Amino acid sequence: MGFLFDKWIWKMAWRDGRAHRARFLLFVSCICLGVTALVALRAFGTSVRETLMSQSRSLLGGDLVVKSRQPHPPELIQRVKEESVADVKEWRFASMGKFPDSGDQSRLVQIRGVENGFPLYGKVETEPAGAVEKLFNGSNSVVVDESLMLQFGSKPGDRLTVGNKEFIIAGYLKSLPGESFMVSQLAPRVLIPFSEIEKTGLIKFGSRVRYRHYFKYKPGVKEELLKRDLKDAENEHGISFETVDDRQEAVDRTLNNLFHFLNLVAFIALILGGIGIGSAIRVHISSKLKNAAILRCLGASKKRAAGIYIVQSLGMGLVGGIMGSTLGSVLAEYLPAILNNFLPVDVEVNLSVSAILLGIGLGVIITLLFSLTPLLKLSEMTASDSLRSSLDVSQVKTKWVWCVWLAIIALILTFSAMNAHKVWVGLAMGGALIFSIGMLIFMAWLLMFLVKKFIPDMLPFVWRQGLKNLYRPQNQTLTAVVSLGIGTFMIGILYLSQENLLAQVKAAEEGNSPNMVLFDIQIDQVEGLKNVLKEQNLEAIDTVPIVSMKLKKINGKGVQEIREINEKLPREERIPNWTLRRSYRSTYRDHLSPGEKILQGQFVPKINLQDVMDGKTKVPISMEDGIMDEMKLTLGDELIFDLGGIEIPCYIASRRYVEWMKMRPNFFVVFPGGLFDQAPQMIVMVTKTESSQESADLQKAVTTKFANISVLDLSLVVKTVQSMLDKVNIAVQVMAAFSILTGLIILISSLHLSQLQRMKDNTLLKVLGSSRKQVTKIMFSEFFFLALLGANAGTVLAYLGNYCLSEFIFERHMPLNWKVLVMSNVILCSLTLAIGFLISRKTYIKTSLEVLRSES
Amino acid sequence: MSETILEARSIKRTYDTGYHKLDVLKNVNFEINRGETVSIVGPSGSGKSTLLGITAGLDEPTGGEIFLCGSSLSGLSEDDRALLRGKKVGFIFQSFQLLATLTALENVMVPLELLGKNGKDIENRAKELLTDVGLGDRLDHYPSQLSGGEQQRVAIARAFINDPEILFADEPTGNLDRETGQHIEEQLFAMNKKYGTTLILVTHDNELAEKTERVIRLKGGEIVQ
Repeated sequence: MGFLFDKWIWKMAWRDGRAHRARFLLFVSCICLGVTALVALRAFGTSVRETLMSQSRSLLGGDLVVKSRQPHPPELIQRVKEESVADVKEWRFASMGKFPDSGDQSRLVQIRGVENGFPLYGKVETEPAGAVEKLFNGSNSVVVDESLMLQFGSKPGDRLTVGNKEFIIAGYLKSLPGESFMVSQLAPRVLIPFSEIEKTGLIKFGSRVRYRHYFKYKPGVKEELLKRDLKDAENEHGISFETVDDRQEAVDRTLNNLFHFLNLVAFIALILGGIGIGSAIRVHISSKLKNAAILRCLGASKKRAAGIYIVQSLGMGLVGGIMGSTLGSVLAEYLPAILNNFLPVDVEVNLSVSAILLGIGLGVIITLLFSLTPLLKLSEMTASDSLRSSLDVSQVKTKWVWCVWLAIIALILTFSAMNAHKVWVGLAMGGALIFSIGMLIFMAWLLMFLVKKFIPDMLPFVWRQGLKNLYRPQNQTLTAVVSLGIGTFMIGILYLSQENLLAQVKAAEEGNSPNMVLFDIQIDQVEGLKNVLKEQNLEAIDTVPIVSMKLKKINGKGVQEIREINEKLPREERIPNWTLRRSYRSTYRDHLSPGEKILQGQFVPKINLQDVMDGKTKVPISMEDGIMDEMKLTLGDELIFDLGGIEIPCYIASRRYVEWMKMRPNFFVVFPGGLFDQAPQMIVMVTKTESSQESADLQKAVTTKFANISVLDLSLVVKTVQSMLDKVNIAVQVMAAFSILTGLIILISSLHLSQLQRMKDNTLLKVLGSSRKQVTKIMFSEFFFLALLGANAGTVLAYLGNYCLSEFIFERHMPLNWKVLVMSNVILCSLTLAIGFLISRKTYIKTSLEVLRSES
Repeated sequence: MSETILEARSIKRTYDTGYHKLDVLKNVNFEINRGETVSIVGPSGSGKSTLLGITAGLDEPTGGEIFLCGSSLSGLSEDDRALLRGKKVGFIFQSFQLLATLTALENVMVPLELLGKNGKDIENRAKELLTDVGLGDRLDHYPSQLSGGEQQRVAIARAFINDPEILFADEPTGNLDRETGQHIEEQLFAMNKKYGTTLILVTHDNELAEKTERVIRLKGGEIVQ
């Protein structure tokens, strides 16, 4: 590193660089864009975290929230109230919301009954401002999500019916503390006064209400003591609680995942920039071999001769880092517009010094690492090697090349691991990134190899010549193909995965599968509801009873005991708490549902209830494959469920596969038919509509006759998934755009570096008698084939990736989506041809004599 | 008795092409005294440039030993040989070998800058040398803005800036027309005389060779005269 303090090296680097400012600016741009993306994300992420820290209480809406699926025990609430200065209640449940002023249209919404004072921290933002205050002034008002207003064309003052109660819409929600826009996408929220919940008539037996109670601590409360008491109640009453720290940790984890993924996408641009600058520097060094040789003849040591170009690379990395950091800091200001949908708070972006330093540091490190191979080779060359005009820097062997590649891999893995909330997740994602880039390089190399090997002889001369030009020394074709391919791959795989996911959701609608689910049906409403369906010319495809129960024991061990044992076990050996605490909404039937199959054991359709009552036998149950793995259960294991105070002893008779994507009620536990005929239960019914009109008519008819029954429409689910994916895609696409831009800059740089050779070749061809038209055709075919290679290297890899996703994750065969192939080829060919001809315009401007003279 | 500045003892150089071995130099021996002017002549492929490269430490012989300015080159690393060149050797090439990205003045200053010298002194010295070769008015021109003769004159100025004890010139007029070549020859000999430098000249031009005090003739990698 001593060369860094050698003034002469810096002076020579500067002198040499004067002649290549435009070239260096191109090289710098490769790095600059990746740094821009990273710094923008980092600065934004830092601001998000700072905002979350400063608004941590409003994330939760209180200092503590007690949650459960059944009413809270009064003595527990009293215990917490003793430590609090204020408290408010919130009940959440799903229901149909009907809009009488919009033609009685209705849809499934999430009702939130809130007490005056909600939230204890933070503010509900509405339009018009202050609409939320009307909830508590007896004006019969509600506040709804904006998406509902847009869907039904409603305006403040319109009516909204929830169950038996009609409200007036006071305004729409702009933000609710601690919740992101995405929450409203899943189920649009409707805030109603707590006092009006009863009047809706929706809280009945079996209603799926989530009870929440928010508390604001007295000053000096010892939270640890309170948490200990709550922990006891957690086990006893099945409640859960969340403190500000818990919420912050959860939000942090979610955001970490989001930012980690986006950071990696941005990092791809930087790695791509590294590949681009490394390749460009190799060509630059090759053109500088003579200079290095002259300096060696004049007395410069190996280190000093190579030091000039190391310093130039360092300078380029530094300038790229500084430019990227500056642009990134500016871009960060605009990121909230793209990413706010995912955030529970409004973020104001501040300048982040750590992001800027990271950007500059990464810019320098990546540039140096990727330039090191040609630089090391240069320093390995002897003076007489360098004087031999036939020698190219790539022909020189150096044992350090592997060390450089290992350092690059280590950098990618370290970056990924440092940005992930778990090291192994980071390493896995970093590994996947390295694998993808490696695959792309291999794919590009393979395509180039195949094209070279099988250039058809019957092609006209101009096409063959254009193709052969791709393989001229120092042409950087592989780099250009890889850089074009990465962008194509990223956009391609993103698009194909989205299509895959949507196809998966839409698949639920195939054939005679139901596409509407009606739930919260009381047993005495079943017949009436069937009549409503009949009036609509629809059929109840399935009527499913649901019985709620809690798990009490597994193989003789109480749930509480298991949880205590859990705490002493390593995480991977534990039975997840959610499986022990949850309320099991199970069904009983004598058949398997479509989309289910038995993987192990035998499904028992019927059982004699009396034998169970007499203790002669235990109930043979069928458990879902996934939850059995989660709970570490095997066939024959014994479980005891608590059904309204009655213990049901069971054993696992079969392991069952469930196709969860089917639009049917699916269950973790299925009991034999007839077992709970006399038990309190809720009913779910499924049907199939043929059009959105039929669906709307059914929802209208059901909500008019049975206000408590909710309807879930598959087309709504598809729309919601599509809208959410679109929003995720925008964020990913913005980051991917940096890779695409970097790819284009590398393309420009590659074509620019080979421009002189191209011009010389064309001039020679002209001297030998080629017409202007023929020269144009040769260049056209060179750029055209370059684009074809780039587009198809990326597309083929995207198809391969999508094939793996379809076969192994979605377990579904996806037909080939031609759109990606056609679009990537058309777009890349147009862009490459435009850039190529623009860069090579001198071929037409300069006369042959001028070119030959400049060559001499 | 004259002091020997360059001695070649049993120099051999073999190139292995992978298919066969090519003996370019076979047992070459000679001595050159300080202040002497010597030509190495011979037909193309006789090994002249290879011999020059080896005696200047740009390449290593396959066998034998070179003593340059009192040091055995075989005991020196490549960087040490470069340092020796920087301090005691000057070079002139057939194809000028100027750094394309540096001005004429900067090109001439490079050898001294490499030795850690800086400032006005070396700039003035470079200007003086460029004026000596008649380029006092072209100091800030880049090589691409100079003619071939002018470029070679810059190379001559550069070769003398470090007051070399020995100057190697490889076909210094080979790329120039006759008239310009003659002018360059005159300048080279004039400067050599002025600074009392030992001159080793590689050429296939007998007329030029006759202008030196001694001629070494090479043929097929061996000294024939």
